[in-house]
Amino acid sequence: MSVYIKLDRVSVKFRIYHNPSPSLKDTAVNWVTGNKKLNDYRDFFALHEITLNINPGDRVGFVGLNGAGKSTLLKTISGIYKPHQGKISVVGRITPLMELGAGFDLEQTGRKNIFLNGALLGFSPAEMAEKEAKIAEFSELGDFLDLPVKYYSSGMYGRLAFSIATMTQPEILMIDEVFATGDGHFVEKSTQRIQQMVEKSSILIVVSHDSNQILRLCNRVILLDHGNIILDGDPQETIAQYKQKLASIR
Amino acid sequence: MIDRNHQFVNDFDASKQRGLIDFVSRNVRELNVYRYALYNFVSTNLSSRYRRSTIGFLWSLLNPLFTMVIMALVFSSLYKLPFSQFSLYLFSGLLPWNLITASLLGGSMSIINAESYLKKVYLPKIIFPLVTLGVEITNFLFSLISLFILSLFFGAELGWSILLLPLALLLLALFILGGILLLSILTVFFRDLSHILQIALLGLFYLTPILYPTSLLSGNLLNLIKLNPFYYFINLFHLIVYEATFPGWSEWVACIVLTVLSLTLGVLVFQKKEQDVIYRL
Repeated sequence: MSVYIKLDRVSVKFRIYHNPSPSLKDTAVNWVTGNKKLNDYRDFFALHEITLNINPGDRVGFVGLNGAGKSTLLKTISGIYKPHQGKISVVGRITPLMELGAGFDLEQTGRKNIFLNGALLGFSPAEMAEKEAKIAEFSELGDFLDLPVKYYSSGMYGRLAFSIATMTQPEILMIDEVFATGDGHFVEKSTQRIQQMVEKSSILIVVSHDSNQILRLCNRVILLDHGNIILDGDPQETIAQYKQKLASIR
Repeated sequence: MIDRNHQFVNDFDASKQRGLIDFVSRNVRELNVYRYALYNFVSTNLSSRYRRSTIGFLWSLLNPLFTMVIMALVFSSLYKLPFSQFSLYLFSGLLPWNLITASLLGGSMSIINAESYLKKVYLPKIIFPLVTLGVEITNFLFSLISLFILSLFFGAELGWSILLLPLALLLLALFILGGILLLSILTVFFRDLSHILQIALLGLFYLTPILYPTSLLSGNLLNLIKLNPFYYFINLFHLIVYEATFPGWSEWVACIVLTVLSLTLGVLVFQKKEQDVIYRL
């Protein structure tokens, strides 16, 4: 099957409520007193009518200021946010390298968490058993793997999370702010692994504030601002405009 | 979502109306893929509940057991009924009632408590209400076994009607599922709902013949109790376990109708609102 990402006029809307944790009591009181203020909300578009086609061979970098919608876009592509308008279709084996270690159960051992995390990605225990040794080896956790994750240092935690997240070669690789955890040695090793995955992936999507990294990895760069695509195309050109934008707010 | 070959497919058109059939078929497909996640959530949930004490698992059996024995002692002497007789009556009503309250209370918080998952990875939302139901039914089965042993020890008599217990439990589980689906969504929009629910369930507990036999009631009070949907399910368990008789058609039909109503309401609300929940967590 072919690999692609298609967005057709996709909008994602967030509501900022005057009262972020509504209650039945408040609703009843407001209804009686006619006070509308508590139910007030303000809509804002995190993504506004985004149309985007990403095809095999594309190495797309997303740049933009904080709150431009970069991470929301990645989460929409991976299905976490459902758009309020428009159409999205994504096909391909996907590895989102974001929010690593999201599904960890702190009370359970590292080894158990390999299986728990695999299940969240749809892998059966048998499939994970095959991968277990490789993950254990790459994470270099050794005996710590049989200790509950809550006793891990943040470096160890990151190493395990990274080793699990990168256990399969994806067709679509999404990287949100390339992270480097652990000591110098592990940073080197993980950078190497990402490099390998990047080379083998059909589509690459990178969100980063590091222009040099974007220029090194991408052949297409998209500048986002307040949920809109400002510029989509040549990396040098887009990065130049992004830098202008950065300079203008300083 | 991911299909069996770990092919990620995200196909969503906001302008398309998504109907009930779409909801059911999508969830069946997704639950098949994420069944290991469902199983893991249930098992880690159960094991963490039982871990924090020396005889761990045993406590979870003994605690409700002793609570019920004390209640049976108190109320059987109040009503001047033989202990063995009243204890079976109490147990056969209180056990399903505990299943109902624990599931509804846990279920109402299930999606809110899953915020850290839902915001970071894609998972079908229906997993979390189902985890609550799975955990509580497992608990129910454990206590059921220990209470059976206890009842036989005290000389209670069971009949062949006990064979219908799985059917009654299935109906109750589906009835509860409808309620959990509804509450898990509503609580996201009204955060104080679980507090209100706690009080409402306490009130309903006394409106259900569990601590007292139905024969104690008459007139208006009896009519009031018949408005309580839980009455019909508890009644079913009473008939099967305590009375050791086969429930008649009318008793089954009442429970089936209630189950269909609850499931319909729960599924409709869940289907309509599940996409919006992520924006309110």
